[in-house]
Amino acid sequence: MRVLRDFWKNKAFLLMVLPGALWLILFFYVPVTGNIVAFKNFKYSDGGFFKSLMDSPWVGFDNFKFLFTSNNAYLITRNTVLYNFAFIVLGTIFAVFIAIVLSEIRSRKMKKIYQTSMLFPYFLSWVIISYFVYAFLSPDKGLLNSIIGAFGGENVNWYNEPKYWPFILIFLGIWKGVGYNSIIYFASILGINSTYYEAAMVDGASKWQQIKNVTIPQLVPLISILSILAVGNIFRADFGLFYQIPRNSGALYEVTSVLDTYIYNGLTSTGDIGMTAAAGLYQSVVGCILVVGVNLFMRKFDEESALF
Amino acid sequence: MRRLKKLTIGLVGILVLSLLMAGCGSLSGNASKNTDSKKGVTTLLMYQIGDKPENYDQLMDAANKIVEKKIGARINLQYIGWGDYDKKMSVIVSSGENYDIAYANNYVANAQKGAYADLTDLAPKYAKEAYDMLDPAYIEGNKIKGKLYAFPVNGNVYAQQMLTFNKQYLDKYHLDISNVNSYADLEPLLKVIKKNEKTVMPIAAGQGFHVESDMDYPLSNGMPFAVDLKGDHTKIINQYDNERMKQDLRTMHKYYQEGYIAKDAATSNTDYPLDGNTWFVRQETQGPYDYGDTLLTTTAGQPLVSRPLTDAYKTTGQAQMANFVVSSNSKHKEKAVEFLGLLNSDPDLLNGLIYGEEGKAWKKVGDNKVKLLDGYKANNHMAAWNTGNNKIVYVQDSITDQQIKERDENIKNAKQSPILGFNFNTDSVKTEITNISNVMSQYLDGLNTGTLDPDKAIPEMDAKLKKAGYDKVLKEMQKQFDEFRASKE
Amino acid sequence: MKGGEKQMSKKKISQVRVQSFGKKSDIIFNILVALLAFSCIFPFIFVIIISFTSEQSLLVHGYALFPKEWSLKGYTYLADLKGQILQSLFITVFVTVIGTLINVTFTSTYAYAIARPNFKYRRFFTIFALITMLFSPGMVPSYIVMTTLLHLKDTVWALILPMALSPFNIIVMRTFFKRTVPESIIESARIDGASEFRTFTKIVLPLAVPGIATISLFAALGYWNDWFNALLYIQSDNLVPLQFLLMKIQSNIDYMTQNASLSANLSGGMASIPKEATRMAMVVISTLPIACSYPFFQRYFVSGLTIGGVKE
Repeated sequence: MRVLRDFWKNKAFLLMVLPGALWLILFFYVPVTGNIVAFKNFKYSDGGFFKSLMDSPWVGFDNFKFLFTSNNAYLITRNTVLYNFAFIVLGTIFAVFIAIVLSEIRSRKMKKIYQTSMLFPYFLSWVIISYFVYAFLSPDKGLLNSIIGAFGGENVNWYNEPKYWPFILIFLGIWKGVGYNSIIYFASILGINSTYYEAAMVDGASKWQQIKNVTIPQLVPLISILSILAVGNIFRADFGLFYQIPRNSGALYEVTSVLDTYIYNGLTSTGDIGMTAAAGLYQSVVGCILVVGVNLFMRKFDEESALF
Repeated sequence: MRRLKKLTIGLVGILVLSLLMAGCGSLSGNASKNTDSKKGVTTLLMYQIGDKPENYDQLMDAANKIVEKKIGARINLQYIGWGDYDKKMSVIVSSGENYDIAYANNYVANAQKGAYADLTDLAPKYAKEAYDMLDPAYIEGNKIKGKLYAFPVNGNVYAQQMLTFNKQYLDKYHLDISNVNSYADLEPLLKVIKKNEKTVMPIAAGQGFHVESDMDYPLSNGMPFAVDLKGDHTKIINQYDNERMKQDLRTMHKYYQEGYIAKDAATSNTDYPLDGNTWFVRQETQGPYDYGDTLLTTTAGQPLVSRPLTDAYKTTGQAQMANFVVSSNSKHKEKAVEFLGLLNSDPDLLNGLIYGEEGKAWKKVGDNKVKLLDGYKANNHMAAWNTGNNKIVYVQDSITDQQIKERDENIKNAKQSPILGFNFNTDSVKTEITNISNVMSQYLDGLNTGTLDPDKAIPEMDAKLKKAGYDKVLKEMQKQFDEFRASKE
Repeated sequence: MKGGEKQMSKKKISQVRVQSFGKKSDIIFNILVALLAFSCIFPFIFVIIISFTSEQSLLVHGYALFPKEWSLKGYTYLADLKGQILQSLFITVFVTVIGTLINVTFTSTYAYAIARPNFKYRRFFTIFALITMLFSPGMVPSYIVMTTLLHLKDTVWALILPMALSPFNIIVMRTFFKRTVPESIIESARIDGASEFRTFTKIVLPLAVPGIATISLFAALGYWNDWFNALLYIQSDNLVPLQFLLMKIQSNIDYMTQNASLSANLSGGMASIPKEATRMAMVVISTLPIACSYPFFQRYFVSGLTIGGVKE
């Protein structure tokens, strides 16, 4: 009875979440049950996928084994986490920085031009960017080597020199996303109530102080929430970036192998859906644990900066 | 609020504009418009790899007329692009969606898991004529645990790796290739080209290039498991530990250092067009239905000549080149097999698809030859290798009876690979295979393009393979192979 | 710019931009950002140049800013597909517009509900949405839902529905609602007797325009760039969206290149396409429309933002 009354009291809100909730059930909660395949040795039987799934024998954690038995297990995990960590920290700093600068620039026209240009890399797929990077780094036809050559330097065989690649990859990862990511912060800054700035001006605050004392604190909850979300994906690497850009060059494996490329290289030959699902599940579960942890931590400091 | 309204109006404005712009833009699918089911006529859904021909409707109308008359069925042929086929088909297969016939992707794994209908009895019964025309190697090569799950396209049952030369350069420098039988023999020729032609790449090699050395591979040529066709036929080995293979890799490495191979070959996917003049020698696969260099030369539009690099063998890979399978979920299994039988035995049906409309694109000259007319265009017909029985496909009039006779002789005389029909079951070593694929992806392109020094890289790779569980897989494979050989005797 | 400001102040809206740099730092930061913006647009210019370069010159000299030989061949191949490209453009625009409208409606109502402290089940529904961001449902089961459960295979809805809600945008929007819409305004509306829906549409939405603009943009970009749903669900030629059409051509080219040793068998009409130039021409064609319409979006976006930031 009470439940019903509560429902009735919240009917407007329930109606608002209804379409979204239905979508989530249909396009997430129903299909997500298919992840059980990670614990099965999938065989077909008449009657479609779910029937086959039920009939297939359980194999426990067999499908997960390949993630841990490789001699590179440590290397790929380390690479994945470190790169993603760099993307979260540096990516956020750059996005916020650009958003603030854009919001402060005087000419509205320039502002638009900058914003539009910075969105361009977002439209280019990694494959296309890899051609472009290749135009720079190709050992014999590359732009960079011809510049080095012009100054009397020695040609560098970029695709064989692991030491440069962490920088190249981090740079490209941030470069591609910064325009897109700064939009959220930009919109958020413009949403800040202007009375705060007026008050700060009255107090005689300099530009730098305004940014430090008004803009950034106002952005903190958003930064925090987006970072927590990003932590949830820390075990997922951007496949295109790590596969297309280094062109799967064997000499660079030490610094370019990440979980997603490892999974791809391992599973294209067998195409086993059990193992594919296992890999995804592993990435999700670790991400999930981390999100809950980080969120708990953030809640202690500031309720509003926490995700839930 | 006003802004919001404006935004909405703006969006709707774009929509209306685009509607006008596209004019006749329609929003309902047109994929199956001309296959409405008629009473008493079964419609078979068939998936095929590749690009839809431009005159698809016309081709299918003509074909369906024949099919309906002969077996009372219609075909709804759906194309899925070259690059998308694997992904889309594996989803369709895994989901258990209904389809009748498909070009097989990942044949062995799917057959082992039970995705396809067992054709062992159905094929000889409902497609007898076509079944009997198949070279026995096809049936043997497609059997999995004694059962046949596919109806293969009868075509290049054996294959040979060739070194194909761009003839214009051979003529220009009066180069003689009659003694070229291996990579090592290429050296003097490459030297000439390198010296005189600055814009020509002596060897066209990039990512995916494979050094070929009379081996057959139970998994794929990218995995370190092989049987040496010139050595012990009973043993599975790592081809990279084979001395002959190593010698070839050393040769490639030398060529790489000399600049006969692109400096960035291991990371490059530069394309050297067959019809271009940017390359001197490349590797091609040829089989009996290529009629020597005839097909290659026609495709290239310039004269090309080839020298064999390996012996001709009927292999599992060739047998599984273009398989058609019937879904285990199909409700019309018999009809589907009946259709495959018809497609592979009825010259009118098959040639109508492969050459296009008779009278416009081609006309028949003699018993089994055609003359191509002006109406014959590139995207107005289907390809022979993945459609149907090449034996009943009419040949172009430029091919002599002598060549046809040779073709049939060659097929008869070609040797069988010792592993023909051996399909490895990976179930118990899946984890190890995954690890091995990863090790291989690190070394494969580097070794085969000559970028890496084999004497340094192979020991390094072997050590990693060992850690990845190579021995376990090898042992399991040898065990299954021994069983396979025992069952054949 | 200045004229615009004058007009604004006439309307008695306090449109004074307190937030902007002093003259000197403005120049410095302008240069800095301009450099960055250039580095972002430069590849695209390069792509345009390559699309006009002849294949021969690409093979011999590699990519160059000033190619030795120009060529229109990349585009002539695409011109043959004009009818298909126009139809695909229409599908893409249709899907993007309708999809964005649906996405923004679903997302913002959901986000508003879970942002309200007086919604009893807000925590449940927050986590309900959040979980979906951490786990992935898998391709095959999703395919089954779309085809056997909803029977939407090979329809435009198969392109729209899979992206009709975005959990990430829900979280972003929730933050926007919490931060930019003062509780007091909603309270006073409630005291005036407005229903929750009325409050939402008449008071909250206008204030949240910056957020709405952001998520619309994200949704629109998402729809525009999507080709994967088309790969899975679309079979008819006339429902193929632009990105997938180009993707298909590109993956065909790649397939040809990878299987180079089977060239005699595989290359039907593909053999003579200038591959690099076509690839780049496709990028140009698929990017230009949305890139050109972005400033148009931006007009609403930016002006909406300034209004949103002003307290009435």
